[in-house]
Amino acid sequence: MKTRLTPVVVVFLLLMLVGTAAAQYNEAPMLKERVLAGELPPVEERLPKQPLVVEPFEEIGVYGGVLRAGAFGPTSGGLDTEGVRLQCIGQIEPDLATITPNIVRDWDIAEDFTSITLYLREGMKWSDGHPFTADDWMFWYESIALNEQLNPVKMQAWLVDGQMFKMTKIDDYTIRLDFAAPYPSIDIVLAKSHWNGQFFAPKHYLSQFHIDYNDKAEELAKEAGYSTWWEAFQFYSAFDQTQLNPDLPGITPWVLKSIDTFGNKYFERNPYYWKVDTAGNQLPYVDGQLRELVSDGEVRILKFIAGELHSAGENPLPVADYTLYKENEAAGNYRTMLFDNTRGSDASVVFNLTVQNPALRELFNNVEFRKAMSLGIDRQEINDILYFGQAKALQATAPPMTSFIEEWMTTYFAEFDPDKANAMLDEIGLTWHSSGNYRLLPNGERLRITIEATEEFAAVAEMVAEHWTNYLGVTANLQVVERTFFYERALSNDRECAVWTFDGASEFMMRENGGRLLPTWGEPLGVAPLWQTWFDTNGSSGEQPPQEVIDQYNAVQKFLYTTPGTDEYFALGREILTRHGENVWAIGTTVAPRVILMSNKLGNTPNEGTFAWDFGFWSPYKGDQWFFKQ
Amino acid sequence: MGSYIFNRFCYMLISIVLMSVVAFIIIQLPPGDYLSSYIMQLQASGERVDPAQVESLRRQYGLDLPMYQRYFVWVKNMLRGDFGRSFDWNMPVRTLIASRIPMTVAVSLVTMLFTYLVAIPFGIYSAVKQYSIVDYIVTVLGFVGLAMPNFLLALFLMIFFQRVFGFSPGGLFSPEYLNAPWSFARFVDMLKHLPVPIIVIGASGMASLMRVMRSSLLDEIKMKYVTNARAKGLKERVLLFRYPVRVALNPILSSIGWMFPQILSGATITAIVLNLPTVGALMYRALLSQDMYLAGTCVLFLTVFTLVGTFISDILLVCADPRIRFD
Repeated sequence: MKTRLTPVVVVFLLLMLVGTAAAQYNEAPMLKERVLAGELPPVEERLPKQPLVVEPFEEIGVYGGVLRAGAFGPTSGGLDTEGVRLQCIGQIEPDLATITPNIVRDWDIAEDFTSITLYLREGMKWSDGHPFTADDWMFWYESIALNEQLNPVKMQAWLVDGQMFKMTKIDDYTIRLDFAAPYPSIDIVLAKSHWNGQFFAPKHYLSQFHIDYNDKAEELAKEAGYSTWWEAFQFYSAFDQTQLNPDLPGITPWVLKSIDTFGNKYFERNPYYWKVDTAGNQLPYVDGQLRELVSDGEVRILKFIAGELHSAGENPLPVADYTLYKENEAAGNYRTMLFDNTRGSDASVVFNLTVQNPALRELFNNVEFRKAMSLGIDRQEINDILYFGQAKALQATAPPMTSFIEEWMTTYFAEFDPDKANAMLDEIGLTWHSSGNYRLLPNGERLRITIEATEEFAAVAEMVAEHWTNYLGVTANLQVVERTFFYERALSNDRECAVWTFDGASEFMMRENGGRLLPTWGEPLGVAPLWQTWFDTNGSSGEQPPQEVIDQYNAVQKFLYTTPGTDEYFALGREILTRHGENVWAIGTTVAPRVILMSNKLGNTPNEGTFAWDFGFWSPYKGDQWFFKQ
Repeated sequence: MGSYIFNRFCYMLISIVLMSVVAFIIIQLPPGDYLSSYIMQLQASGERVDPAQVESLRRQYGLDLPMYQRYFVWVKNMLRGDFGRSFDWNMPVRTLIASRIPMTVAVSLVTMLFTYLVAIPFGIYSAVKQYSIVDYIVTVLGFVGLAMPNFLLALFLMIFFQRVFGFSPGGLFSPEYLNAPWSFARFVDMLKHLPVPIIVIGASGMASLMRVMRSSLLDEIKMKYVTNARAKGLKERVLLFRYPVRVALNPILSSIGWMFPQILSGATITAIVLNLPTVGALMYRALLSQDMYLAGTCVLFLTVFTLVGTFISDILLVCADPRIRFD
């Protein structure tokens, strides 16, 4: 006799299924309402088969609240919201050394580092409910990364030995990346995939704007007021802080819902977010994010004191205002923390080595001149006045935690010795004017240097200018410029000398892309834009740099493909830092801790740590498991 | 009268055309352009652009054309209502400016109203009761208002209102009302945010207005026709308001021309410090980041407003004071 399932048994079995599933996952009340209203499928169907289980830092949180943070510009300076939201393929854990799979379920790196296989989460979905599969990755690779209009020059992270990596779809949930040569830093590239192009894009949404998929894409773009399809595509597909398109599906805990005309952005919980906590609650705990445009730094602090903002780490939060933050902690119900900083120097002074003025160019390219100028800066005074002595005086190089750094590098020509500096300048042939007030160039003109800085580094730059003018007779004038304009000046080779942060020089960054140790990075320090052009165009335009610059460039490139921990790795790292140090391409000043303000209402938040570009700023501190305490 | 207005109107049109040329040139003076900003933004996010690509882009955007041709393209588009796209905001300039005009005008009008309502009566009072205690107090306050930098006063008041009344600092709304639809609660919230900008923006204008009113009324009161009218037994109050005050208002009327652009820009520096969503703050940022089309449009709008304001004050002057001749 065939087994006959009586209706009672069927109902019982169904109930059991529903019962176990319902017990397994929990969701935010605002989503439960939408499920009950029939607008959303139940949480079990929204989560992937194997969601990422996150262990909360302190406790299981409760749902609710909107996280508010300030931003300085409409499309820039929004780290305190973007940084808490963004998700990468890999996750840098709070120990800042371990990298675990995040968006993907798992990965296999080939032993010789020439390929990596990524296993996607089956059943994972975009924020609009559409499945997130290997096709989205292939779409990104074939139609965005390889597209000559959208990416005429490939990102550094995509190139191995100058060749674009290959992406292959194995099946719907498996992707393989192949490299032309060993690529040992691929884990770091994936752990910062947000800044490396993301590696996937919502094909079902974006293909309508792409010329390969829609013949009318060009007309569509023109109608919307763009001149080409790819210009429109760039607008529709922007997923980072330049995103202004609320229709773009995402995979972040909160997705852009609207922008008001004042430039404030509102983000709302992604119902398809693919993480749960250890109790089975779908993350994030917090309902939404508000990215409030506060262009003035003072107003931002006032808003903290009024308890209106919840977290801040983005500059400028000057250490000099430490007492102000501390004094008002109770009023604003927040805490002030000093996080570690991986910068080589908070503000470093750099001469444009391809400056247009020939007399200045000859001078700037003389390493003795750069050494002398470094000796002429009173770093202790900068520390005392601007940082209350909380900072350390360092030469601009990799941070002291680097495994292959040598003692001398961090202090090389970084002491304050105006007598020695003046002797060196005399030696170079910079004679004094008969008045004895300033020095002259060899051609008899007065030596004047214009230092450019953005507002956040203006105070340091001003003191440097003062020290040079007063102690060395090198007349220096400070010009404070807006950030975008500052970038432009670097590109156009109009600058003489710049002050900018010397960040991204840590071991992590050196493995990832060479950071600032590539001597010619045109932006935004503006060390030598013409050399940069020479490298970019394989020597067809720009100017050929001296041999040691080419050597350094090649060494930094080679380092990207060197297996960490090997003898070759340490030797090459040391070689790069030695050449960088001896040439004093960047003059360091001081390194201060990073001020972090955090509302006491927020739970599962860090109390100490490191806040740096190297580790993706907020990324290791997992904003999706922060919650508002009741 | 008709031909006077016509003449003035023609002068205004010529000035607007000339100013649009000047505005365009000034905005293009610094090195770099829309495109280099765009490239830098790509670079800032870690991408890099091929120089060959840059040249083709430049052609596409028409940035390789000589300046006078670019000017005509700009004007041509503008006449069709297309002010270009803001690079920084990635939105059409028209939308951006239009969205800020209501708030800007609201803040400025309330401020102006406050300024006139306070300055004119006190100006009159301190002229009539010269060297009285009130005159001294008003004079001292007036000078403080003139001398104190606005942004400093803004910071002081913002801290004061936050500490004492617990008002949310900066902006026009508390965070919970930022994106809320208009309601009574939101209106009350906005009212709570208005005193600081009104006092700050109004302070210096009020001080100078008061001084102007006082001195021109003092001149007028000493005139013989006033003594004559008084001798004939005209009531002091009627006399004062019918004749000398009306004449003394002349300089204030002629300054209305400058008030117009202020209404639009809404005291730029103060707006930045107070985080007010006004056109002035928008323009400041646009100028710094070389957001060419946005900056150009803002400058042009301010110019047009100044000229229209001057035009109106010319007409008002003629109406208020028949002694002014037009030729």
